Amino acid sequence: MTFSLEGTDASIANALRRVMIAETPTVAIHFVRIENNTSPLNDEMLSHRLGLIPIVYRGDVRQLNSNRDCDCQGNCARCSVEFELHVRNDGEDTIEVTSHDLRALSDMAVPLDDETLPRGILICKLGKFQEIRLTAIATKGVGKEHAKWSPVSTAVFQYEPSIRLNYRLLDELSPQDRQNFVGSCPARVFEIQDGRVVIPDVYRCTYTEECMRWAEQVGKPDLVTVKQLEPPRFRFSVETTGSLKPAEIVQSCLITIQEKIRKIEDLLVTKQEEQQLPQ
Amino acid sequence: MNAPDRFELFVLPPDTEKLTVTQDTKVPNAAVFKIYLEDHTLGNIIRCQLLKDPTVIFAGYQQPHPLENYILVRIQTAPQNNPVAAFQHCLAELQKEFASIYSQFETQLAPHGWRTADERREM
Amino acid sequence: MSATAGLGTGQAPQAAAPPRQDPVGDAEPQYLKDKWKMLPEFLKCRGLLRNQLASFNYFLDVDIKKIVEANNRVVCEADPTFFLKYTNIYIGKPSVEEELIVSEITPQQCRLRDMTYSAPIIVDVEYTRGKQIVIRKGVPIGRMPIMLRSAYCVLSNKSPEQLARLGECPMDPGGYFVVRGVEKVILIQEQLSKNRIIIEHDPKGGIGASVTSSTHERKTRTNLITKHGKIYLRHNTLSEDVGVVVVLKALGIESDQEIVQMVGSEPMYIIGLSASMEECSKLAIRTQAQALDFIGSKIRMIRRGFSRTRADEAREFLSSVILSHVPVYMFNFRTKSFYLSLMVRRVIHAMTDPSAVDDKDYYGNKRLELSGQLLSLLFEDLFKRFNAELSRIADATLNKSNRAQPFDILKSIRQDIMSNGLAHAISSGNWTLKRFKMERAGVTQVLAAVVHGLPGYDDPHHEPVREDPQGVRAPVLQSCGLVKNLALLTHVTTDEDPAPIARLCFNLGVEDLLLLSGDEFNRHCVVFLNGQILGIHRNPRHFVYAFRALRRAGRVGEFVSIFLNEQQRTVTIAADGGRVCRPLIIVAGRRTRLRPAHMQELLDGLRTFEDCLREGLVEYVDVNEENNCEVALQDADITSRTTHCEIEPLSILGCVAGLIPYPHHNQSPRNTYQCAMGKQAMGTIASNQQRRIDTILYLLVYPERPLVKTRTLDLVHFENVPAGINATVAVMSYSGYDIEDAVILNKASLDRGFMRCIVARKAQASVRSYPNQSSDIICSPPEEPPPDPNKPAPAEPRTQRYHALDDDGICAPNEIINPGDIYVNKWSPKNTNDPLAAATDLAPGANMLAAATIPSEVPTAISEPTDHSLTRFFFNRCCPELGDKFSSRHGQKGVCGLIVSQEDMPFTDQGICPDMIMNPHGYPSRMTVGKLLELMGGKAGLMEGRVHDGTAFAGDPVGELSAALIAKGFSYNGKDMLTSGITGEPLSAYIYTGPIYYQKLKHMVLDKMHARSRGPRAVLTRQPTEGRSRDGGLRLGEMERDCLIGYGAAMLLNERLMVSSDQFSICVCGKCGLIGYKGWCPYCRSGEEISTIKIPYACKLLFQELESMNVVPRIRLDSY
Repeated sequence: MTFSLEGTDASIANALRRVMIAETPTVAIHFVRIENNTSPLNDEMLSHRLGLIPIVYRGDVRQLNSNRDCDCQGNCARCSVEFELHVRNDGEDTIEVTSHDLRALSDMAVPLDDETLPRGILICKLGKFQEIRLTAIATKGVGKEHAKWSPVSTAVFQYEPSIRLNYRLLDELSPQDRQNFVGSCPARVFEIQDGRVVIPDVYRCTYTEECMRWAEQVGKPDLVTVKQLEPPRFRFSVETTGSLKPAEIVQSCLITIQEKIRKIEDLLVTKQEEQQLPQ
Repeated sequence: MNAPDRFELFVLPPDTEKLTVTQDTKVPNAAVFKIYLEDHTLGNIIRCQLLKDPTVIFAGYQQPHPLENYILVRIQTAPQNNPVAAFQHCLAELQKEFASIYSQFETQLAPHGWRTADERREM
Repeated sequence: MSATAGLGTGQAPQAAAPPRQDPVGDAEPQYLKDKWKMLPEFLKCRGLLRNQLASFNYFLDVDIKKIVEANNRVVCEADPTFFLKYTNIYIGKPSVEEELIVSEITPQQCRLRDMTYSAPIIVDVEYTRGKQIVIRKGVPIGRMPIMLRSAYCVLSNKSPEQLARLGECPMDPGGYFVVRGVEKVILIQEQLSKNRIIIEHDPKGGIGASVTSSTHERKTRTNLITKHGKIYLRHNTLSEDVGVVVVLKALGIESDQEIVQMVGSEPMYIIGLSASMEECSKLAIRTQAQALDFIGSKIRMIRRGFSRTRADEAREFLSSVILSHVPVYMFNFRTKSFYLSLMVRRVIHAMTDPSAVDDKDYYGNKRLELSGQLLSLLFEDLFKRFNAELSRIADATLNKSNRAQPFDILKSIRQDIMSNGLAHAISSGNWTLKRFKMERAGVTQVLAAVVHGLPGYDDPHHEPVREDPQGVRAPVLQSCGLVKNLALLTHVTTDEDPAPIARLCFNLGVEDLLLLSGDEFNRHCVVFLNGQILGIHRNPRHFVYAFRALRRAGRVGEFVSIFLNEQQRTVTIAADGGRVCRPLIIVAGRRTRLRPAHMQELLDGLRTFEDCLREGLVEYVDVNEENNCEVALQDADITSRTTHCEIEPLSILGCVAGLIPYPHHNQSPRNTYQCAMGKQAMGTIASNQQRRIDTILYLLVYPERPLVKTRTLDLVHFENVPAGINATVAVMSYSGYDIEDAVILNKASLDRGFMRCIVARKAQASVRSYPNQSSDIICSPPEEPPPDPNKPAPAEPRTQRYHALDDDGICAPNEIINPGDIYVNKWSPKNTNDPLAAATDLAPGANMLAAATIPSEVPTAISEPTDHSLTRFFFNRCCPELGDKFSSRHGQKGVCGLIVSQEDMPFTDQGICPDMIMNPHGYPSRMTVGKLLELMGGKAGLMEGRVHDGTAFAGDPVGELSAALIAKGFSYNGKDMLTSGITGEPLSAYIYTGPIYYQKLKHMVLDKMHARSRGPRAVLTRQPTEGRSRDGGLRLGEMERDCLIGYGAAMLLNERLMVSSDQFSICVCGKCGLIGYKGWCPYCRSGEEISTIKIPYACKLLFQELESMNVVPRIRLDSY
């Protein structure tokens, strides 16, 4: 998903990005109890791989208790989801154990099932008579603790560039030179339509400044200027791992950030009352 | 193995306060806020917001050590204001800003068939 | 005809002819493309470790038979009719004998069970038993360790599937031994050539010549030295140096004129010889008899029973000791006198021309001893010892009269002389040969099993290439640690029969030495064969040309080299083993003989490398012969003088340096550093790594193949057993925690498995039986004692240390082990002699400091029938942490300085976050441009979905990489615009970002971290122990002490050196100054003036030790 943000500054945009990456809660496998593992991977590696599988939680993740703070002993439905994996290869050929083999014991969560990944996420391969039997417990967490809880694979914003072409100078160029000018940009920001240089998508620009260098070389330094738009406008791209929808992430991140601010506001108030700080 | 535990990033150590305020003894109208369990995310927006306030003479933050999870925000204001008030004002402004982003985001989503967070919660 | 052009190949007769029309080509010379494709073809027929394997095979096929043949009779003095004769020797199949059952064995079993992978040495014998002669076949006399993948190994000629079934990695090139469960490689040893005249400076600065003669019968060293302008012969058995003219006279050259003629009648030689001549005449030695008598008087006599005249003694000495490799039949010293006079000639020449002194470091003067040769030396020695032992037993038994049974020598064969001798030498690396007084340590090394593709095989390289660290351990300087590596294409020759070559030489017009006078000898070119003078040739160039032509036609062995030395006027033919040579493409008439059509056939599999050799397209050239060649690097460089063309420039590097991408763009020391570091990198060891139990094993969890590869990588199967990860690197400074080469890592990358590794360790305990029928036992863990109601309950159970043990007393799989835990509850008898003794607890304490180790894999091994040993394997998973060491492939190592969470890392517009941030200050002083190129190549390859090539002296050029980057929408220079993750503002500079192949080195903080406050102390001195493994203290050394003294920090010094170390209170008597105890001075018999002082315990110890030696140290006390 992409959206653009304007009327604010880089710090706000960056805060959004940071919270999306690090402080948006999701569910991921955190505890694994291995009953039998005769696969080529050892237990630690297997658990690590399981942890990185995105888990889609059917409810609101924010409502889930953190396993650490939950008043249950061990784990309960309010703070965790249990999964089970039991695969044994009795055939001759090597088989693949994928996230599809991971069976949730409650209907609150499932491992990522996406049409782009028809075979699921590969966990391990099993040879003849090899077996994996384990139960896994997924808990809530944030990307700050471990990257497996980070719901985004990319969360990034781009400054909108402002590219100003000097059409008067441009018209002075020969068609061949115009073609060369267009070709000077590796990101292909410019295109020629009906003999005119146009910019179909400013966000293609990667600020390589190749066009400016070209213009300088031909002795027309004013031909084009590339700058950041002032005041800045940002284009966010959010791509998820699958555990949450992009919009959910943005919403969740906005909620998180407001909560954070509110917490400090409240503390400040209590502090003031305690210490009678000058108002 | 010799790294600090990951949960220290969001579990407040015992006997520490999330927020402490220290008045600067040498400079008038200056204070240092020590906020535990926060990082650049908050530090940077607070700083930027404070700098927009004309009564604030100085605003800055730092994370003194990468393994210690707190930030220090130092604010110095003009005589007509004081650091705590400036800080409160700044937080309120930020709160407003994010609220506006949030509402605009939800309105933008609606035509795309996205459910808002509240709707989802009601599910 | 120019001199050099003609020299080389001797192609002079045809050189002027116009180039032959190419059947395929047009008039323009067709350049050979993709010559490098020959490398895999070459390796297909020779393999990476062909040298070691070939030499081992040669040893078992040929050499061992020769050795036995040379010593095939065992007789004894007691009974002249007794004999034992070996008629044949051969090696059986690798097997093991356990409780009298012989079963076949695989190397993998040997590794796991700590056994020696060996095969029986079997002989056929003929011997006398009483009065009759018995013929017995198939008598084992010992066991020979077998080199893996040699012809005698069970793994030879097996398909990858079969190898996998045997538990072996198909990529393993073999070439090592498994001795007592340890993989050992015999390093190639570098030696000065045998049987060659070496002109050298003696320690006093004079010129001398030395020859180390080596035959199967004898090894001697003969020296010629110069003293006051005179030339002397020096030898160990001579009590005094003997003038060389005297020796020549003793060799039968009586006339002074003839001596001069033989040495050389040019004025230079006459002058050089005159002083020696004069000395001889002063001694009044004129005839051979006089000379022999004189020499005989100088020989240190070893009296043995019968006496001989001095002359006979001298004659024997001259024929078999001096220059013993030159054959002497019926005391005809003609050949030997020629040889000696040639030595004299060389010495005189070198006295006037210092450039004639030989270079000892030159590889043409060196021979490499491979495992086959080294083993053959060892075997010969052991075999002789074995025979001597048999002879001694026969003597002892046959001396006894009235035996009930006829003596059967076979019953007294002890196999362990041979078996233990060989196994012990290989496992300890000590090559001790009593006969030759040879003692060498460090001949073998443990196979460095860190990275499989480049294990510590050492193969010396034959050209001094700077990039590649050179070859073998220097044998003379003990383990000075210089390890060199063999270039990729190097071949080390094995011995070849010289007799047919000699015949051929005579057919080609070499005149026999015996038919020549001294004058003729010096006027023409001398022909040597394996260091012996064969004769002379009047037209050496033609001879060399003809000889080479025959060799290319396959009539002479392909490794026989011929070398014409114009300065010395000699032709040297070498067919001996241990020379280093390499294949080159032959050039004739400005064209390589290998044509594109041939290449095509090679690629299509219609032709092998051997075919090319046979057809004379390619030939092996050794280091000496290289001097006659003009080698072009590329086709384009060929001129009319060119005789050969290089197969591929990258072949001057070995397999270790071959892994570096773009090494030719790097500063050379960087490549050298990488060669050392590549061996420390973690990765995949072999495809059987899951089944191996090594003492310590470092494995990378998600190894990747490099994005920029070299052709060498394919040759060593590096992509199947990789050792590193392609890290996205941003070259920028960040946070200040990246100074001094430190790198910054991305926490999210680590969470996702970046550079994770597994460290597996082995723990072993043996269960032994003792002579008194007692043995160690393993018992179940003790039960928790019932809680004592009077005492507070302990925090943890008292049997906590035993928690990992199973009911059988051995730690169970999947238990978590903490420091101090017990792995095996073993009890050993206190008294191993007395049959009635109590057992005492001897459970081995855990010595591992690692916190979470989890044993898995539970093989139990039986190494000896009576002694069982238990083996457990412990896994320890390590995620990279602060202080772990990483390195790229360009000798750029650095430790992790900070781990930064993903949101703090800078990012590009596409959302790419680097895995690693490297400080740009690493570049200017190191000048590793190759690393910059690797980044470009990696980035371009990443976008194009292909792997770029960074082969040495080739590789994809920057222009190509830049073009690829531009095509994919990146800047041509590899830089990107990055945004700060902390503030969200764009960084003010463009940042060089892209993937670089990074290795994790095995130095990890986890294994090194150490601190102590209080802890164990040494028993004797009561000072804190030393070293991490003993939980020792951190030493405040002398220099630190000096600092404190300089600073005047007296109290701190006192505290560090005494209070915190070994402070001890003693009672000192003020009257006598001696040490008392408990306030009483036993010397003064009073306690009146006793005072207590504090001194270091070591000081008190010194006083007491002095007292025990009747020295009285008195302590004078002052009050203050």
